[in-house]
Amino acid sequence: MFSKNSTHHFFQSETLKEVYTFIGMLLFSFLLLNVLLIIPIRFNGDSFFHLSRMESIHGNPLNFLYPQNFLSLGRIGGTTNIFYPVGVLNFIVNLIPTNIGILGTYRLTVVLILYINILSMYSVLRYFIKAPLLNSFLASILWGTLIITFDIGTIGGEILAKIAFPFVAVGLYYFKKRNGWILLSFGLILSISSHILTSLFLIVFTLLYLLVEFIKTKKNKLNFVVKGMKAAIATVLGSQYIIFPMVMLYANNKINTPPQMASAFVDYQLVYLSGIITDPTFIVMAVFIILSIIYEKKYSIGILLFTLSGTTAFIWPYIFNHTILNIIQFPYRLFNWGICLAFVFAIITLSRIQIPIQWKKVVTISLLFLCFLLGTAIHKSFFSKVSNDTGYILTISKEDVIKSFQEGHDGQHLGEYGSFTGTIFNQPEVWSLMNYSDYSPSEGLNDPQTKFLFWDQKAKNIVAHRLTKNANDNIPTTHFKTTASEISFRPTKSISKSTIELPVMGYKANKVKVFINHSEIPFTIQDGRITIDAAVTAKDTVYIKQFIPLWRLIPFFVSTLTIVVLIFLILRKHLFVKSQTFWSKL
Amino acid sequence: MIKKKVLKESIPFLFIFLASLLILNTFILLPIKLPWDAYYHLSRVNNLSSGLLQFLYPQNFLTNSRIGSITNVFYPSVNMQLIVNLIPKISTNPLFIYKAFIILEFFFSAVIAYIILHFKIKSSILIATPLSILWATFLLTTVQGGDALGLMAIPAFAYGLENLTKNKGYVFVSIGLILSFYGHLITSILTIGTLLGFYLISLMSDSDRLRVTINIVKSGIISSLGAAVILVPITVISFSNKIHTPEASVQTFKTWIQSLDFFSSPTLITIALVIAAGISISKQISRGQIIALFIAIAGTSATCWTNFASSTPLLIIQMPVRIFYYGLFLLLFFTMINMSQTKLSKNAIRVLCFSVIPAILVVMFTIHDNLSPSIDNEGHLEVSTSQDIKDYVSEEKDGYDIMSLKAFSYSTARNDSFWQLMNYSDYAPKSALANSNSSMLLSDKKGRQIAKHLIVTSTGQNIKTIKFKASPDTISFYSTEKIAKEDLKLPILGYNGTVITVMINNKKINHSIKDGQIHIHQKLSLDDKVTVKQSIPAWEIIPFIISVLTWLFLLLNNNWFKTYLSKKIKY
Repeated sequence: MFSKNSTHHFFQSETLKEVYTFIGMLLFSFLLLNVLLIIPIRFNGDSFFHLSRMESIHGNPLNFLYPQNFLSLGRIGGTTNIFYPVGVLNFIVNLIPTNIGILGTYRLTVVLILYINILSMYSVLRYFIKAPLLNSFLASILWGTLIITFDIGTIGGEILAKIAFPFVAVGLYYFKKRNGWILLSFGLILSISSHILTSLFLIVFTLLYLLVEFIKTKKNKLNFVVKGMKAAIATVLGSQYIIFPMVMLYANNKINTPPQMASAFVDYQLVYLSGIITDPTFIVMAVFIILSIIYEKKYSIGILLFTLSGTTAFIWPYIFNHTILNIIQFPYRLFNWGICLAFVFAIITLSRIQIPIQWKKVVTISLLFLCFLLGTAIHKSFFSKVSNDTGYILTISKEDVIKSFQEGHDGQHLGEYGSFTGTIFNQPEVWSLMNYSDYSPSEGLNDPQTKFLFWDQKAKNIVAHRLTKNANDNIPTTHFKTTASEISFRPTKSISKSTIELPVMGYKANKVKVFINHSEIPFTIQDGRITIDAAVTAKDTVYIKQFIPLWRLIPFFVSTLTIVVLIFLILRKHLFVKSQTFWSKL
Repeated sequence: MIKKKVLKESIPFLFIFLASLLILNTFILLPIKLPWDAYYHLSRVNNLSSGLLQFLYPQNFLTNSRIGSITNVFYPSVNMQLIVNLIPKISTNPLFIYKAFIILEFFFSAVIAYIILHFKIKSSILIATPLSILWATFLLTTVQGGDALGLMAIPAFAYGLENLTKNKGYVFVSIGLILSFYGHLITSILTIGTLLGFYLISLMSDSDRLRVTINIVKSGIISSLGAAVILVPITVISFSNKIHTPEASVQTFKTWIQSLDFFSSPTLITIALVIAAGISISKQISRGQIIALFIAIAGTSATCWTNFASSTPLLIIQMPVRIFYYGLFLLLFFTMINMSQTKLSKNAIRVLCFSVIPAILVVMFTIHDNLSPSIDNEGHLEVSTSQDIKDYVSEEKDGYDIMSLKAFSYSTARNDSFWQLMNYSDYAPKSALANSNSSMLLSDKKGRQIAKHLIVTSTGQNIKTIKFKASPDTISFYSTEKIAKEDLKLPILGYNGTVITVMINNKKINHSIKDGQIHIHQKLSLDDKVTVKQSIPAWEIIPFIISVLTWLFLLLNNNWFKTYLSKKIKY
């Protein structure tokens, strides 16, 4: 009887409270992002890049398996979906119904990105660290606010990898005592599914952390190594669906990686002390890190090292300027990642403090206020320009979009336009507003340092959707239509039989077919473009179809299986602390 | 015994006064710049300094281009008049009067806070004095001019809100409301909004709803009577004239919101730290503080309501950042109330007193940064000369070009052209302007003739005036040309409802008000002295008497004052 009563009571209060917390966190995400949700918003370069990535995978959860992106970013079949991991983004975007337009999708995606970040922190604190509910709630909304304002200019890239931070941190935290390796590899897979550079950072950090731990371990060193091996294998298998296709394409093609100017690496992007002090997110994180050090009276050396190495305190960028390290683009990223990870460790420590009853209201209100104050950064980044005379919000017009396409603008001009409304996306040319040269075949470019395809003499014909006959005669196309797996168009005039380079990027190892009026014809890949040797009249429609290759499908199954097993293990291996009594037994 | 106590109680006031002088030392001793609206308030202060009840004259003949704009009605001047009346009549230099005014404004801001903290909350002198000085320092340096005069009322208002559920809880709410009406209209709108918000929350959560309602109704009645001296003239003039209200641009409304720059402003950071310290000392967060926090958030860009509210009457608050400051200062004072209600150890009080000093220092730096003159290569202070001012006026610059001028010293302020530096079109009759969007008279086709003191004939001929003399209630001038009998526009704004007499050579003549200007139908020779005289209208005097009576009622209702009186009578 007694136990029955207590379960009843349990359902009444504890579970319900838990449910309310989840709803509360969702509400918070909506409230914090209200500026982004309601009015037309401005896009700068990188936000638009991520919007385009969303467009290319939205609608079908398996669209992301197509190597080439036919739907956005110039609609020329770039391979961003291979080289810019879409695992987590794909999961989030496809939770959103397709009938609200891409702008609506973008807005809701940002809300969900924030929510999932909050959730990842919350679940780690609440279920693995077993922190009190209020602490977990407050800590996770603060974490969500900090990272979303931190990355506000480019929501969609690095911020997704932040989902992994709490899992990696708690995995390392529990690595020796319990089966932390499961959480660790789960976290690393999440990170590799979101952002490659962040993952590199996390992997290097994990290795250093484990090395120090290994040296400190006195007994059972073998067990330690076994756990490490398990984590490594699980991570490798679980992230195969990202890594294998990348390796596959990279091995078969010469890929143009994002251009990196050596000057940017050593020059202005390093973090100066004055810059750190005036950035509110840094200050808030630093305060919490200091609090946790005071509370626990010890700190992790690794974090301090990483954090400092991204500043002007160390001279290493000058020395490693021309090495492979260049791929992190800006050394200050190390500082950002370092301080974020340090903050997560600090939160794990601090969240276990029981807040005295009389302080609960004070702490709650102050932190909520702090979150909203930090949230003002969202306004700065997204709020539209307002006309000086009328006070109306300036929006980008259909004419602007078409003009931009015809004049060959490149994406740097995005900031000059007004805000984007939902209707502007009915104009297919909108997807040509941005055309980074990242990940295009090198032979398609005149100058591999070119940042935008429209800047490049050779590549601009692809973006302008022109056919190139015998390498010098460019013929515009009409009726340019795209779906996730197919591009079709007609030339504006008849072309006699010759080599014609189509305005679609060509990658070796991809599975592509070319049709003229439904009859398949052979093709080659020249200058990084799909090239046919045929005659085409103005009435012919050319179709290019892509198929999901085996090297994309098999790793996908392997990874899915691994992730399912990991989740199963997390739930089974009692990592998921069910009750306070369970915790005390440990 | 009693004398000793009186002596002890008066020391803090002296101390606050000395602190005001010390904190404002750079402002007092150096020539100062007049950024943004400072010149406008300087003009108002100087207009009011010409008489104890000068604010009852609707039109300003003395300063602000000397064209008789009706600022005394639309820009509430009671707080200002009360302070100005205390300035010793040592000098008539405009800059001296302005500086003295700011010192006293600082002093009284602190005194209002001190009275609430020490006499009402009953905190010790050692807590109330540093807190009230801190309050005045923050207030006078963060918000400028009119806003500060309105926000001076916050201590009384906040104390009233805390006691809304008590018997006679209406007294301090009314005092707060009235004082904010006396200082700044937009602030009083925010005050009313806050009061209504508090009332709603009280209705939802308090048990004694009836008493709260009674208190709200009472304070509504009393404050409208107490503020009659402000409200009645505004109503009279706006109904009988079409007034050009200050520019409220939608663009400003949508974009002037507090954002993350918060973190790069030393003053705001210091205020935030003081609030954080206060909350941790008092270990509690009151309902007032929570509401104030939410008001502050509404003034930041964390929300996008301004984008939708820009087409509503809310536009009159001009800049949503005002809401942020209002919330911030309300929060600051609620925190101070909580702090002074907390029992502190001797050591804690010592720490409090001394940690106020660095906080004030931070703010003193910003006074110097914003107002002090720059220094030239030879190490001299850069000050505008009389010639600079003459050139400025003759080049017909106006408005915020004033910020391109160097700092002002006493000698530059004594210049004849000094009152021509800026000529807002605010509160001018709309018909006096060619374009109702002009914010300065000089930039308006029609308004420029008034600003330049030109007589306009019916044929459109502009005739210069000379020997232009202005006193608080009269303006007199001579024409530079002989004019045959015809319809003449005098260079003075005319409002329906004001009491004006026009005289030529001290002989009263008929005049009319057309197109927002005073018209006469006369011939003028070179020796004819035209005099325009204003008198205090009945709609200023009667509400004034009502308001004075309301104050008497409020004071008589105050227990503290009652016991004080009864003691006096006994001795």
